[in-house]
This record gives sequence, structure tokens and C-alpha cells, in this order.
Amino acid sequence: MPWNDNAGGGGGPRGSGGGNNGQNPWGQRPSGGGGGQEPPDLDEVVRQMQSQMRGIFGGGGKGGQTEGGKGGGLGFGLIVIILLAVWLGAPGSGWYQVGPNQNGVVLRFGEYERTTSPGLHFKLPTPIETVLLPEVTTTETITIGVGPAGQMLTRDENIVDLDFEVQWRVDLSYGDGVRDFLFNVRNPEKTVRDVSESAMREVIGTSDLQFIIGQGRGEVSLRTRTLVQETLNEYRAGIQILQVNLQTAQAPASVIDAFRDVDVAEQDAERARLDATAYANQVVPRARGVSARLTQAAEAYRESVIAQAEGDADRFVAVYNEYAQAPEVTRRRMYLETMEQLLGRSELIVLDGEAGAVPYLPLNELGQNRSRNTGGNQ
Amino acid sequence: MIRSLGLVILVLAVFVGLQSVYMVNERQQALILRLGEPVDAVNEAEDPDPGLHFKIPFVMDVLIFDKRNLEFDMDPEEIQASDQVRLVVDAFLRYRITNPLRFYQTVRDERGAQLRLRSIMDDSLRGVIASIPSQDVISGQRAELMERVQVAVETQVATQDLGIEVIDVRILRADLPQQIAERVFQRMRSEREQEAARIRAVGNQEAAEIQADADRQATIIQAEARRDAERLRGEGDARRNAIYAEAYGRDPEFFAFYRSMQAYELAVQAGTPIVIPPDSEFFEYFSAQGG
Repeated sequence: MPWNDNAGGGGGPRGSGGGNNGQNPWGQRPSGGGGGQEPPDLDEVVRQMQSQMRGIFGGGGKGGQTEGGKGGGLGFGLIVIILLAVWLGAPGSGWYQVGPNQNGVVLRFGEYERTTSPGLHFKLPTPIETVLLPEVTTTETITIGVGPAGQMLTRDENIVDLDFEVQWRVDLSYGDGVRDFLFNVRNPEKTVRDVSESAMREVIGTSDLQFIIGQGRGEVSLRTRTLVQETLNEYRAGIQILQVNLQTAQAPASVIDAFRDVDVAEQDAERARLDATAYANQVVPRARGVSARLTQAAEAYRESVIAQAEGDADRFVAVYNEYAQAPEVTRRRMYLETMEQLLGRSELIVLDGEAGAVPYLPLNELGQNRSRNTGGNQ
Repeated sequence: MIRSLGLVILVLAVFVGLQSVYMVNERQQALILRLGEPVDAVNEAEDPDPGLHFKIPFVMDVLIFDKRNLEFDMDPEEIQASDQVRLVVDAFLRYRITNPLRFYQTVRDERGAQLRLRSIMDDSLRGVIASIPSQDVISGQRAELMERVQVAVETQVATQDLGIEVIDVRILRADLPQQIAERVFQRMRSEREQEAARIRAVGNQEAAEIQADADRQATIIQAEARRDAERLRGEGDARRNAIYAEAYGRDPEFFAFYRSMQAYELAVQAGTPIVIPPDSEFFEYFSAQGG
């Protein structure tokens, strides 16, 4: 029963919040709220009460009729008293328990009377006062967009696969708080779901695909949250949107390979760049090395040539200085010494040009002689 | 017998008592019918008065209507936009019953209201969307579009005086039909493929640039090194020449003699035949003493 009523005879467990399975703040079983078609609400309560009363008094009446002849008047009175006691004392009829995550909203004949905090409270018995026990601190989560419902069109006419989560709870601070939540909107969960999907599609429709699946995820969530909250505030729905989480935002399955290939291409390009950089890092230092070798060799050449020249020059200068002391003698001596060395190891042939002899050069023998001489030297 | 009669009277009294009261809670509003004819509305939006109320038993009936923000969900429909593109549009509407009497008279109950709203929504959506290109429906001006549809719906609701207030009209989805979606996927795929090819090409280009730059640097470095090397060698040679010139310039004649002596010594190898006349300088004293 959406009304979470205490009217059902001895319906204590539900009245005291026993039916709260955490599905929604109404404390009702999900099947109980089926499709939001539950106009019965309080008039249902009245009807139940009426039938109950009929049951009590009708039953009592019959009892009176059957037993009355035999002086059962006492029995009838007793039954009425017992029933009254049960009515007043049954759990949920007079006493009710507000759970730690609940608020108790007491209605007197359907009119809002008071809101009570967690704990044990007393109210007038059931048909007069009823209590609603919405869960006000529990965070509810709705997941939207699994399957084809998650495909949305972006501004640049691409399709994105979305999957998001909306977290909400009763808003106690805006408007009339829990009263807004209880009295203003029918089927709050469906409302949140529809408004969220509409808002998300609106936001997606004004964003580009790359933005949505890339750096814009946070902004998409935030804009959606703001939009949903604004709409719900307009409805005075008493609902606070805590968070919109974009769980997946990616290209649709049938094109995801192409999207992944772009990532792969980026890696390929990066690798090509790295390879080229590695090549550059190898080639340039090697060139530097080669160039260092070239210049060092040239420097060595320069220094060695200079050193050689200096040596030669110094030697010459030294010799010359001595020569300058006694030029004639030195010159002659040097000539003779050189000739001595030179002619001493040569095949010397002395020919007098004026003797008129026919010059004859025994070339073969000369060669032999020479080789013999060299051989002999060794 | 008397006791039984009293009991019957009691039961009747209770029954009549129950018939003469009714409850309207915070979420509800009630329409009071006298012999089937609506006479009063209780706890409607302008005059909130929830709680226990009295009526004349058996003569008056109470009809309860919801007072809350209600939802009407349309089924997805294909609607043609102004550029002939068919779109799948899924919308929902939020409304509230503001005048139970008119509501009861025109549509009777929520089911009737939904039937009426369906045709009104359908009409308004088609009317508005037919005047807008599909691109604007999908993206750009969704908020404005919803505003226009809402105005159209409100106008019709007001004209028909349904006793309801349109709170909001929202387009849930405005998508391309599946066969067009396939085309979109195709396009997305080829766009991505182009992008991937472009990225690879740019990567290769940049790699080639980096390599070419490295090669250029290497070539230049080596060429400069060769240039510097030649300069160094030249410097060496020049210095050597200067040193020689400075030293040998003291006595060019002696230098010629000195250097010739060195050269003869180096050039003539052992066993080289040398033909020499006896009157040469070397043999100057060879024959002079004897002759």
C-alpha cells in the first residue's frame, strides 16, 4: 500500500517501518507502487476502515443475535471492549516507530499535522491519524542508459554510448522539504529517471563527441545535474540530486574499433617520432665524434709540422752559426764529408773525358756488381 | 428483540455516520456529486482544505482526483522534420488537475485525460517539429523546441478547457531511426579511419623531419670539421714556411749548399754507380800531387 497505512487490522509491521526494504523512501515494496497507478491512497483507507467497522459491528451483531437469546449480552459487550482495546493498543495504531533514516509525517484525516523525528511516538488511533514513514536520509541510485537507451546523438551528429547513474534523496531543505516530496509529485523515482534522461540528452545534444568522451565528462555530469535539479525544483518535487556519474561515455560498439585505431595511430606516430629522435641522437653525436677526430688530426699535423720546421730551422741556425765563424774551412769540410759518405757507398767510376777513350758502360755488370755489393753489405 | 432492534439501529447509525463523512488527504482533491450532478470541489489547488469533511449521506457522492504533479509518457513516434528527415521522438508531459469539475466533465478520469493528452501531444509535436530542421531538433535548440511544444500543448489544453495545468513538456529522445543510425556509424567509422591515417602520416612526416634535421646537422658538423682541419693544416704549413724562411734567409747561399749536401746524402743509395771525371773538385788533390 502506498499510503503505508496502519488501517489494516494489526498491520503493525508495516506501520512501524517493517516494510522498508530500502527500495525507496516510501517504505513500500516496489510492486506496491506499480506504474504509479495508485489513486486509491486515502480513500482506500476509508474504505478499508468502513469495511473493517462493518466487520466489527456486523460480526458483533451476529454474535448478539445468535447468542443474545441465551443472555449473551455480556459477551457482546466484552467483544466490543476487546476490539476497542485492540484498535487503540495495536502496534502501529497508536504507537509507531520512526527509523533512524526516516521521518514520520502524521496526517489527521488526511491533513498534514506534524513531522516527527526518529524514535517511538504516539498518535491518535488509525482512522483518525495516519503516519507516513519516508526514508529521508537514504541515497537512492538510478542507473540510466544501458543498451540502446544509452545511445545518444551529439551536436556533431555522432552517436555516443552512455551509461550514467543518478544519486538522489529527499531534499529536506528546499521548499517544504519532506512534504513536497510526499504530496507534490506522483512516482518520484520515475520522475527523476525521466527528467535525468531528458536533461542528459539535452546536454549531449549540445556537446561534441570528442568532448563528451574526452575531457568533457565532468562538465557533462555537472550540467546534467544542474538541469535536473532546476527542473525538479520547478516541480517542487522535494528531491535533491546529489550526483550524476557518467560511468561510461564511449563510441558505440560497432565503431569502437575505429576509435581505438585512432589511439593506436597516435601511439604509432609517437613511436615513429621516438625512433627518429633516437636516430638523431645517434647520428649527430657520431658526426661530432668524426669531426673531433678530423680537427684533432689536423691540429696534430699543424703542431708536428711546426715542430719539425722549428727543429730543422734550429739545426740549420746552429750549423750556420758555426759556419759563420770559419766559412771556408767548414764549407770544404762539409763538402768532403758528404762526398766521402756518398761516394764511399757508391759504384765509383772515374773517367777522364780528355783521354779520348770511348766511354763504355757495362750496364749488366754494373747491375750484378751492385747486387753483389749490396749482398756483401748485408 | 428490542436488543436486536437496538443493534440494528446502532449499525444503521454507524453506517449512516460513515456515509456522511469523507476524507481528502494532502495529495487529493475531491469533487462532490449530488445525485450525479457535480456541485462542489474540495481541496483544489486554489483552495487547499484537506482533512475530514461532511456530506449528505446517500445523496452526495465523492469523486477523488489526484492533486499531484502527474506524468504522461508518450510512446516513441517517428516524426518528420522540415528537412524530410524522420526522427524518433519520445516525449513526456507533466500536468496537474487544477479544476476537478472541468476535468470530470471533459475527460472524466485520468485514463480519459491520457487519451486526450496523447492526441494533443502528438499534434503539437508534429506541428512544431515539422517546422524545424532535424539538426535543430537533435541538438542546438532543444530547450527552445520544448518550450514551443509546451506552448502548443498549453494552448490546446486551454482551448479544450480540460481543467488541467501543463507543468512541463520534455523531449526524452529525439534520435535518428535505426537505419539512419547505421549510416551515422558508417560515417563515424570513416571519419575515425581518416583521422587515424592522418595521425600516422603526420607522425611519419615528423619522424622524417627529425631524421633529415639530424642528417643535416651531421653533414654540416663534419663539413665544418673538415674546413677547420684544412685551416689548421694550412696554419701549420704557413708557420713552417715562415720558420724556414726566417732561418734559411740568413744566408741563402749557405742554405743552398747545406741543403744540397743533405739531399745528396739522402738521395744517393748504396751501390749507385756514379761516373765522375778525375778533374772534379773531389779529386782536386788526387792527381795534383801525382802529376
